[in-house]
Amino acid sequence: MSRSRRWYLALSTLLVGAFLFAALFPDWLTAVSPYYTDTRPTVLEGRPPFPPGPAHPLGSDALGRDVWSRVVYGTRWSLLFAVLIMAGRLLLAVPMGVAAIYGPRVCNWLVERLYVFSSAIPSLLIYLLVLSVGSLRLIPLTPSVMLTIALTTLVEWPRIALFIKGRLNELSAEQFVEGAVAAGARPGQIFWHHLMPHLWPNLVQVAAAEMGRALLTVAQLGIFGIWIGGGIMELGESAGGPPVFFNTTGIPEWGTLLADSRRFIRTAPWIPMAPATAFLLAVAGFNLLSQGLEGVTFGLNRWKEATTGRLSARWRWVLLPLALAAGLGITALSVHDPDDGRRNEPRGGLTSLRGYFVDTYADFNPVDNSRDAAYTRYDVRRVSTAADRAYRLVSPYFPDVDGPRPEVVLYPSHEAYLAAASLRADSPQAQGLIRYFPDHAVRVSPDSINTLDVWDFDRLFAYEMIKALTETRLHQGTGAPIPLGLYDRKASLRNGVWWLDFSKLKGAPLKELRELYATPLAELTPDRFPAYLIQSVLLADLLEQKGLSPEAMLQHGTNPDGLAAALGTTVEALENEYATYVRQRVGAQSILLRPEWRAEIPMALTDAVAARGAAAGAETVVLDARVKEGKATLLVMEHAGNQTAVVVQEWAEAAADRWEIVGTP
Amino acid sequence: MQTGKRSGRRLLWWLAGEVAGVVLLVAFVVALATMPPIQVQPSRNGLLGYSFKLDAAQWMKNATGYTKAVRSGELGKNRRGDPAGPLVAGRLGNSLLLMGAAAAIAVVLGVVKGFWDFEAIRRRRLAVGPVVTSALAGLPDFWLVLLLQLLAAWMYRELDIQPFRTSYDATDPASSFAFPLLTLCLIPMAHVARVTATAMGNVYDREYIRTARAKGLTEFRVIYKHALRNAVVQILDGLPGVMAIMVSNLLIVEYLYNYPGLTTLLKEAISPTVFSSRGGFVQPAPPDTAVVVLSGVALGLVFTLLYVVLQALRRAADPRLKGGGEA
Repeated sequence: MSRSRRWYLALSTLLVGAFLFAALFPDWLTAVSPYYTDTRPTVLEGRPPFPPGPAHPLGSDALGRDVWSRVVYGTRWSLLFAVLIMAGRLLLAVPMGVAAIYGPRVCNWLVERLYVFSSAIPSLLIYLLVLSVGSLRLIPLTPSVMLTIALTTLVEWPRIALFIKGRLNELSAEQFVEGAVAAGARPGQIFWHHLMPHLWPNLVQVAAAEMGRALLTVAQLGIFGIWIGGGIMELGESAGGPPVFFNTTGIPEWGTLLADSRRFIRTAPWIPMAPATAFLLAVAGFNLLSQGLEGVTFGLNRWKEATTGRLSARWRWVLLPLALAAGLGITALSVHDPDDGRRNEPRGGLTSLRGYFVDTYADFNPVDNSRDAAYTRYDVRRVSTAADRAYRLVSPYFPDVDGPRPEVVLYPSHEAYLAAASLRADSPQAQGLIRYFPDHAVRVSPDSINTLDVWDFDRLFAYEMIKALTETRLHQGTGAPIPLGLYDRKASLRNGVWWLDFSKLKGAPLKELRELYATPLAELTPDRFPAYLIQSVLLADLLEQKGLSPEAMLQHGTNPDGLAAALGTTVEALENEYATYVRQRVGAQSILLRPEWRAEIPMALTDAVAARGAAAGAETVVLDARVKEGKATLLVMEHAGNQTAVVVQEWAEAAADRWEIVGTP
Repeated sequence: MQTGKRSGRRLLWWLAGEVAGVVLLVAFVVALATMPPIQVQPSRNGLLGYSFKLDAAQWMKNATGYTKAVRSGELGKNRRGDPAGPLVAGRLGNSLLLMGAAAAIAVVLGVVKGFWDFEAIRRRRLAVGPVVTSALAGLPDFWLVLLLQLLAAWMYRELDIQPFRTSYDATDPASSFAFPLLTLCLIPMAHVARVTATAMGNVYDREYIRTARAKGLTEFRVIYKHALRNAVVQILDGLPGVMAIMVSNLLIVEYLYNYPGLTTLLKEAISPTVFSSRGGFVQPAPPDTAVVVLSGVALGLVFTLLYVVLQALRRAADPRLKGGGEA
């Protein structure tokens, strides 16, 4: 073998091998699913397409989909289409080429005439005439692929058949064939035993060359906007307006990526250049492979050993690695699910969308071209990017801990969400539209997408993500007040002040420090969570006042003993300090401390509240009051013994300057 | 006399074959242009769950309708009412200008490059030249177009210069011609170079070359008078394939550079879009059959004509094919 041919084979093996690896193991090479969209909540953070950067090595497209992921996942589709086109052409061309020599004369005539016919008009023109019709943009995946492959096969097979015919003609003129004829061999025997061993290396070379040509055809169809694999309707953001429908490609095949992205060549050149470069390298790889295989015979002209009849040793050396490679490929494809999104474990038939940090599961189909499917995909994308955003926001509060990827499940309806969570529609817990459950998934109702604004949506998600990470990373089934408190302080910061709505503390008594840590995650239901959150923030405030940095809080704050040790005190002392601090902070928001409101509240009322409290042996602080026409609704903090509670009291003016309590709802 | 009669008869048969080919070509293009869209429907009994239907009656109706119109002397109009003939002729002229210029540059430069590569291989110099030729020959045309457009955009953005247009500008046709010309001639030039180098390589080992050298002729005379004369035949043999590549690339180049050639006209005629007065939506419309047929036929005829010209040149270059020598 000449040196240049060896170089061609080496380089082509490298290139083709790399593409095969990308086709079989795209998950290993990419961070996200090709259907994942990176949408950022504010105009300040920018709108897609994003240029190449840390988040997107090759940038993103106009919908925020990672270009590198789409090119890698598109490898399997493009190679598959090229293989189907190549196989179709060879399946037609080889028998017809052989029939042109050994069959009726009409076969020879047909091959030659069809070749002249098909070469008189550029094949691309024929594809355009048949496939470039607007209605074909919306047909589903399977018929689109079938139609395109059938057409590309029918147009170009005569060229290959003519080549095979020419090669068989050359071989038939060889002396060993003459000798076989003279010895009385039948045409079938001559073909199989004498011609085939010399023909099949040419077929391998032609197959490699046809792969390159097929890929080029797919690329050219993409340039002209002809989508192999059909199109789908997708819902996307419009500039400042409601989401709009547009026609785009479903599968991330390279040709369709080119078709979708060509208009961005000036404004976002990374979008079309990535699939174009992939085509360049793949076509170059197969062309080099074809050139490298030119004239190679493999020395495999004996199939069986003459004396024993066993398979020749040379065949064993070739077939064994081929069989291993095929087995590896089949195993990889069957064990390692191709991420067209479908997974059967662990979410029972749901499709997963792999984000950067979070996997979102839902019942959606990435290539379904119905409008309903477009709405579902839009919701799934929003939830998926919100989940990733939430993870990014809260993961700094779980430093140096590893664990499984968080999972989010989006349900098709609110009723399905309630049923999955075993909740009744009238229970107060059903108000929560996003909720973490102890089976390691955050469950999301579709109502959350439509009823919550983006800020509330992100914030609720972040809280639930903290719960998820508490269980999966810290391996504790109870609350983690430090991460919650630190996160909410940052999220609630307004004008340098943490605004806390103490009305949310009403209901159950305030928790002590140990109780705060011991509260099971399952108890942090939507009705009880706000109170827990406020107490967590107050704990973080106290620790900061005592000189503990956020990093130290996270390091030592997984349990009260750690905190006490970090502060150089005992748990009991810390508990007392915390309880006092909570009362002080809550009490500092008493309405009576604000002169502009004090005048609104009758002195007799405040005296009556204080007297009632004193009679019960409790300290009372009026936090808020609504007084109107002799009736008052008060929010009161009562502290008695070790318990502090925020309660609502209804008072009525029984007589002039005399108020009586009528109820505590 | 017998020889003259035979060659005359052969010429007549050849002409008849070519005319039949052209007629078949036109029929083929008319059939493709008048074909109604293939309808795809989900079907339980269909192939892989789908059925494909082609309305043959509609097809026949479209084809006969168009044929009748042509027989009445009218080549048809596009949807805007412009006659198809002058429209296609104008665009064909632009395409032929581009293709002619590109072919001339590709052949001339390709042969020169081929010689250079052949010399590099013969003198066992560094194989950079042949490798570059191979790389260029395998380059997808659309990648080259995108690269040039990217380069032009970068030059404009960073250096504030715009030597050539990346999209056709009627006010500056000369500058708009450069990139399409460059793209269209580069890849065929590489193919011509490969064909030339291979042809020179095949011819150089022949015995008559050894004889010429043994007679004491200079290397220049051996290569350019003896080897080249025989290599030209092989180069001409390879040119139809190169021209096929060029015609195929023409479609891509015209489309991507928005060059006002036959392809952009054809693409718009195949799948035109109309701006609806209701709500302002752009929607697909049926193809402009007259323009599609004329453009398709024109392209097919151009290719066939090129092939015929190359065959004629081949016969002129190879004395063995001139039909002489028979008793």
